[in-house]
Amino acid sequence: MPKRNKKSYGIIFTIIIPVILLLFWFFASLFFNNKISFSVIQYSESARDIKSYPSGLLLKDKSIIGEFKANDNNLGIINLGFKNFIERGSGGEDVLLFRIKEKGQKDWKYINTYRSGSLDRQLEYPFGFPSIPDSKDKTYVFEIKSLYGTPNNSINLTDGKPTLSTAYQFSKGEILGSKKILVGFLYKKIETSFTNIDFLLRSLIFLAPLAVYVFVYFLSKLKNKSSRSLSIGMAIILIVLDILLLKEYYVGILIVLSILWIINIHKFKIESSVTFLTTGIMIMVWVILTMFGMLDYQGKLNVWIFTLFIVGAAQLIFEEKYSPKSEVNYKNFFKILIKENG
Amino acid sequence: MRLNFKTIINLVTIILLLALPYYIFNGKLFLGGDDTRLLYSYPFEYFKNSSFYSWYSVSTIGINASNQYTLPFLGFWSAIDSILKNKVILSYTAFSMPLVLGLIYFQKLMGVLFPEKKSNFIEIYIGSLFYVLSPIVIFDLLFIYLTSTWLLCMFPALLYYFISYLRTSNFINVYKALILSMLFSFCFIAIPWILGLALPLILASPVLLVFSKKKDILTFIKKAFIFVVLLAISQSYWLFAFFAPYFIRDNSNFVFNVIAKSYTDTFTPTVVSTAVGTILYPILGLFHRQIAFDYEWKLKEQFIYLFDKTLFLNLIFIAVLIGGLLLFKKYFNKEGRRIYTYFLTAFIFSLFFFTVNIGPFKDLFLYMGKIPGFVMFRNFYDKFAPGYIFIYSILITAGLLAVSNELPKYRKAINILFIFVVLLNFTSVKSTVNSVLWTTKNVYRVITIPQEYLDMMNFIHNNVSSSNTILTLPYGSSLYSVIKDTNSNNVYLGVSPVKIFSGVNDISGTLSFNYDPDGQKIQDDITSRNYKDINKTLFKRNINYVFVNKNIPDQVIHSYAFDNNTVKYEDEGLIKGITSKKIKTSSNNSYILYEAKNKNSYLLSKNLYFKKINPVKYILYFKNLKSKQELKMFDSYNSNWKIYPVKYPNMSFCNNVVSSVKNTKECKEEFSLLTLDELLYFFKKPIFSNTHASKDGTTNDWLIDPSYIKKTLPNNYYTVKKDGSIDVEFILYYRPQLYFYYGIIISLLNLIACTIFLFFSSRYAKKK
Repeated sequence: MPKRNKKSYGIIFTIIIPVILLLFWFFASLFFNNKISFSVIQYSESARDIKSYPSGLLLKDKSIIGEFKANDNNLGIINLGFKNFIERGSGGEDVLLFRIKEKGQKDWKYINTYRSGSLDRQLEYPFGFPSIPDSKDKTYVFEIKSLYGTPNNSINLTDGKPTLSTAYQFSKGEILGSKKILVGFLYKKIETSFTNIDFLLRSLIFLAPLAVYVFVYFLSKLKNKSSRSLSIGMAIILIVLDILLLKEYYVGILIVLSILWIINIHKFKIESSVTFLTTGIMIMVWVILTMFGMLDYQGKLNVWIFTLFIVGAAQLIFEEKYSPKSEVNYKNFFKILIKENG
Repeated sequence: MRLNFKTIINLVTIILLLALPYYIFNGKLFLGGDDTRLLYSYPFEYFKNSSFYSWYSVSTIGINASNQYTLPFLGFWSAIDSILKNKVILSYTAFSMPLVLGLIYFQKLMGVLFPEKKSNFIEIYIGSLFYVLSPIVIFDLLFIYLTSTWLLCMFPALLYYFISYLRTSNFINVYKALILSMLFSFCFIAIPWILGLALPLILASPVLLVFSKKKDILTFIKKAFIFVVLLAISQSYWLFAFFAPYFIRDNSNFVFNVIAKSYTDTFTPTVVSTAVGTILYPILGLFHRQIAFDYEWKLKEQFIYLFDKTLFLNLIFIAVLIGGLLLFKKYFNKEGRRIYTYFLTAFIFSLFFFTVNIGPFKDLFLYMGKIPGFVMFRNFYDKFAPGYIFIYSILITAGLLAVSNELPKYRKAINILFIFVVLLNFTSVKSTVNSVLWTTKNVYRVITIPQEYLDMMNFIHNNVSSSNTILTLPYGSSLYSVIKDTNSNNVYLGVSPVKIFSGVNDISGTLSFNYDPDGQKIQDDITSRNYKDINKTLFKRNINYVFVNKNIPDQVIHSYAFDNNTVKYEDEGLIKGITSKKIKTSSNNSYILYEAKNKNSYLLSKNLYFKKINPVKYILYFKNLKSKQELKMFDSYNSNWKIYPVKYPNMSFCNNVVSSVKNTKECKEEFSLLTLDELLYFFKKPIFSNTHASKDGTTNDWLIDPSYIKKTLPNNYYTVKKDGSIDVEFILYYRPQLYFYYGIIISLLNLIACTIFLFFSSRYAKKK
C-alpha cells in the first residue's frame, strides 16, 4: 500500500470514525434519552434545599419539606431521588400528599395524592404538576406528607436524605420561537445534561458503538500475552466496579461491558467454561452476601449473572457447532490472570 | 425374582411417597379449594353431577364449560373406588400418584436423554428426587393441588415417550403416550402451565436446528407431527367443546377471557407488582422469596424458619450446576452434549420467564404482554414454575452425572450431601401443604366429611328436584362454602359441593353469579335488610330453597371467606324474611333446609308441563296453545339453548307432577345420560330461535307462536283441539353438548385406529 494511502487510512481509523461515533453519542443522547424528553431541561438542586425529612420511615403526618429557587420558567416536575429502594410494606398502601406553592403565598398552587405503591422500587420518583410559566427565579416550597403511614406500610428512607432535582418543560413553539431562544435553550440543555452524572450513565447506550470500536481497535494492536490477562482482567474489574458502584442498572453499561467480554472471548479464544466459572463465582458471592443481609448489590448481580448465562450459552452453542480451539479454559484461567499479570 | 438395587431403592421411595399423605394429613381428607379436590375421593358423585355436561353449574349460575376432560380419570378412579371402598386410601393414593409417576418417568427420561449415562443410576435417582421433592413443587403444585399438579408426571412421561419414539420409531411409545394422555387428560386444561414448559423448549429449539442435519430435522418434524396430532385428536372429546365457544361467539369461556380487554388490562399492573424476585432463589432450587414476603404468603414462614437458615447448604445445587457446565463436555458424547446445550438454553428462557425481574429483560416481558393470549402469563411466577423446575432438574441431574465422574473419590459424599439438602428442603412439605387456613389462627384444611352433612345432601337429592337452585347461607365472598370436620374445628373450605353430593345446584356467594351484579346486590340487600329485593333476586334466579349452615367455626366465619359485615345480618330476621317454611333439620341441628318465600320454576309459561332429563335436555309440553305466549327459562342467557319440535306430541313422559308454579307443572325428573337421537340435533332445525332473547341476561325468553307452528310444521307435530288450540311437544336442548359427543366419537376412532395400527405393526415387526 502506498505510504500516502496508508496515512489517510490511519486518519480515517484513528480520527474520523471515532469522531463520527462520538458525535453519534452526543446527539443521540440529547434527542433519544428515554428518561427526559428533549424539550425538558433538568437541574440538580442542592441537598440543602431539602429542609426537613424524617430519618427512616415516613410515618403518618410526617413530611419531607423542601425549598428551592426555580432555575427557569415552566417548572413542571420535582424529582426526588432516594438512596435505597422504597419498600412497600404489607399492611395496605400509604397515601402520600404532594403539594407545592410559591414561598410566601398562603394557598398551595397544586395538591395531589400518590399511592406509596407507585414509588415502590424506584430510585427516583417524579412528582409532576401543570407547568408554571413564570417560575424563573421564584422560590417554591413543596411538601410530601404521609396520610396513613404505619410501621407496616410507610415508605422507607433508611439510607439518608433524598436528592432533589427540578425539571422545566418547554413547548415546541417556545423553543423554535426565535434563533436566540433556540440557541439559549440548546446551550442550557447541553450544559444541564452533560454535567448530570445520571444523564451521562444513561447515555452510555449510545456510546456502545464507539466503545466497541475502541476495544476492537486497541485489542487488535495488543500482541503479547500479558496484554491478554490485562484485557480479561480489565473486563472483569469493570463489571465488578459496575456492580459495586452503581446501584441502578444502565443498559448502556451492560451492553458495553458485555461486548467487551465477548471481544475478549473472541480475541483470546476463551472457552465458555470460563464464562460459567465467572458466573458461578458471582453466584457464590451473592449467596454469601445474602446470608449476611447485604442486599444492596443483588439487583446488579441479578442482571449480570443472567447476562453471563446468556453469553456462556451462546458461546457453548458456537463451540458445539464449530469446535474452535480454545486457549483459555476454566483450568488455566486463574493461572493466566495471576501469572501473566506478573 | 431377584430384585436389584435400583428396583429396591425405587420401591422404598414409592412406598415412602405413598405414605407421605398419611404423615401430612393424619388420616383426614385434603379437600376444598377451587376444584374441591372431591374428584379424588368421591369420583362417582363428581362424574355423575359435575363432569358430563357442557352446561355447568357447580355453585354458579349456569355457564358454558367443557368439563369432560375429567371423565376418563373419574371412570378409572370410580372403578378403583368400588374396589378399595375407602375414601382416605383413595384420595391419598391420588395425592401421591403425580410424585410417584414423576419419579419413575423422570428417571426413564434421563435414560433416553443421556443413554450412555444410564448406568449411573444413583445420580439419576437423586436428580429425580430433586425434581419431585423440590420446594417449588411443594409450594406451586402440592400446596393447592389443582389438576396442574399432574403435570409433574405428565411432563417427563410425554417427553420420555416422544424421545423414545424419535429414537426407535416404535409406535408403542406413541400409543402409551396416548393412553396416558387420555387417562390424565384433566391436566391438559392447565394450558398456561403446559405452555410454561413448551415456550422455553420451543424458543430454545433453534439450537437443535443448528446442530442437526436437514434429514434429521425432517424426520423430527414428521415424528413430532404424528405424535402431537394423535395426542391432540385423542383429546377431541373435550377440546371440541373447549374451542367451540371461540367460533360460536360465546364469551363465557376461557378462550375469550385470555383475549378479553378487561383481562389484558391487568397484565402490566400484575406483572409490575409481582415481578420482585431475583434469579438467585430459583437457581438455589427455591421459590421466589421476595413475593412471599410482599404478599404475606405462607411460604414466608418457610423462609424465616428454614430456607434462610440453610441457604448456604443449597450452594450444593449451584456447585453441581456450574460443575456440570464446566465438565459436561468431558463426560458426554456428541449427542449428549447437544442435548445438554439445548436444555441449558431452555433453562435460560425458563429462568427469565419464571423471574421476569431481570433489569432490562423485564421490559421485554411487558412488551410480550401485547401478544394476543400472552396475558395468561400475568402470574408468571406460578405458570412457569413447573416447567422451570422440570428443565432445571434435567440440567442438575446431568451436572451431577458429570461431577460424579470427575470426582469419583468424592462421589458418595457429594450424593449424600445432595440428598440431604433435597430432603431437608422437603421437610417444609407438611407445614406448607397442611397449613392453617388463610386468615385463621389454627383452623386446618383437612377433614372427614361428617355423616350428618352427607345425610342432608342425600335428603336434598331425594326430595328437591335438580331443576331448582339452593341459596347457601352464610353468604360467602366468593363461591365457597364450609363443612366442619366431625370432631375438630378443621373445615372444608372450597367451591360449594352441594351439587356434587346432591345433584342440586347452590349459590354460595358473590362469585357464584359469575361477576353479574346480582351477586353483590344480594350481599348489599342482606346488610340493608331489604328482604323484598332479596326475594325478587331469588325468584329471578330460580332459587327456591335456602340451606343454612349453623356449624361454622368462629375463626372461619371471620376469615377471608366471608364478609364480616354481611355475616352480622345473617340472622333469624333474614331467615324469616326470605323463607316460607322449614323442610328439614339435620340430626345435630347443624344444617337446616328451608323453602324460599316466592317459589319459582326453572321453566315458566302458560299450560306448560316440563320434565328435566339431564342438565342439557328438557321435555316441554304445551297444552291448549291458542295465541302467542312467552316461555321463560330462569337460567343465564345463552343463545345455544335450542327448541326442537317433536313428532306426535303426547304427555306420556309426565307420570308424576312434583311442583306447580302459576300455570307451569314440573314432572318428576327421570335422568338419562344421553339418547342416540340427540346426536342428530346438529342437523335438525330448531324453532323460535329468532325470538330467543333476554332482557338482562338472567333468563332465556322465547315467544311461542301456535300460528307459526301450524304454518311451518307438518301436522303430525301438533294436535289440534276443538277450540282451535293446539298441543305441542318440544325438546329444549343445549346444543354445545353435541361437540362433546362428536368429539368422543373422534377420540374413540383415533384410539381404535391406533390400536389396530399397533397390532399390525408389531406383527409385521415380529415377522421381519
